[in-house]
Amino acid sequence: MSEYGYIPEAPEQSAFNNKGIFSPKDIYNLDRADKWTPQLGQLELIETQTVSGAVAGVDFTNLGDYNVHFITTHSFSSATDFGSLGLRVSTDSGSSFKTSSYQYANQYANVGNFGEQKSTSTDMIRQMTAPNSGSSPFGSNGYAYLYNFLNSGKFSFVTWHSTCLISFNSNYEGYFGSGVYPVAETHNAFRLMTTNSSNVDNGTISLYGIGYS
Amino acid sequence: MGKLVQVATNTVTSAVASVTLTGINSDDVYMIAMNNIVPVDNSRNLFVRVTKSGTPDTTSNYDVAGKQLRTDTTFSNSASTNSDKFLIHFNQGNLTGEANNIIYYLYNFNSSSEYSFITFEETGFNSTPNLMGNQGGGVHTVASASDGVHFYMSAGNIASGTFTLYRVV
Repeated sequence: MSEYGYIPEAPEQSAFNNKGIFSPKDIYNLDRADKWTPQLGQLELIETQTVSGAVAGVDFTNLGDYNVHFITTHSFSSATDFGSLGLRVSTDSGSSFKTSSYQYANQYANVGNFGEQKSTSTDMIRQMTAPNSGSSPFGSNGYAYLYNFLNSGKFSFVTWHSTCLISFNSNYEGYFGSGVYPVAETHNAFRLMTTNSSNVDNGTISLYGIGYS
Repeated sequence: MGKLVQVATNTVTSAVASVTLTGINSDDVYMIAMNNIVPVDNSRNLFVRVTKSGTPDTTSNYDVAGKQLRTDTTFSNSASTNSDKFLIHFNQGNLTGEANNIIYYLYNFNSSSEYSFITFEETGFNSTPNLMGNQGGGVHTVASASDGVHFYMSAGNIASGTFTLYRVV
């Protein structure tokens, strides 16, 4: 009989090289010994929120326990033109959000022109999508990675990449960039909102944790 | 959306000269997530090479082009051809709270007949310190299989960081 009780006897086991027939107890023991191939799903969905009516912001207050998070945005739009997607962090589980000291640097690529936007002191991480309003085919689609939000000793960083048709001129525009809230503390919640103080009018936003990162 | 399967990971908690992630053995796209990458010495570049059978390839076949997005001055372009390493990550800081955070996607690494391509997106503080983002891509122009990626600093050691290789399925 092998150490874990499966057949054949005594195969050498390691992650991504498991052999034999496994009982639930075998799997449990192998996993505890770090010898079990991790299961699919290490891009782990935490929560999806869909906005179909005007709201001030979309708050994510459960970040799980991850070093790196991933969010997707689909058909994000503000209630008025010139509102792009911004992000604020919280240290009190979403009861309040930081309103100053953010930095960001963003590159946009429009069918008419290219340019850069940046700030060393602003009220949120800005320009994560093109400014947009209205419903499909308008609205912005994209993704972002969030780093170290739950690490009390590190700044909270974000990178993003987004794509859309702009509602007020029907031009294509893409954005990519990065931002930071440069305070080393735990940020256990964040808010996605518009950068022009209007409401979020539409959008589906999913938050994932990247397991074992 | 696909799923991620962890292939290899290395968390640096005391200084090391380099980190190597291997285990690329399929034609899938692979992803590397790096967070809290900090050099022992301030203002160091993180250099990158692909590995062939676990050994870093030191030949001069690395091309890269990227855009540096920064808060202190006009954005800049960087590009290099026929370097002996990927020249991507510049002037990294090591002060309190600073750290570089990076995502790679790896393409065609397992192919023996195609070049190995990468895309990257990065955010962190440089040694000034200023926010420094970086986005672009690169290629190792050797038509042979690459099984991993090797990381090291331009001088001195890596102080900390978590490097994780995933297969996208």
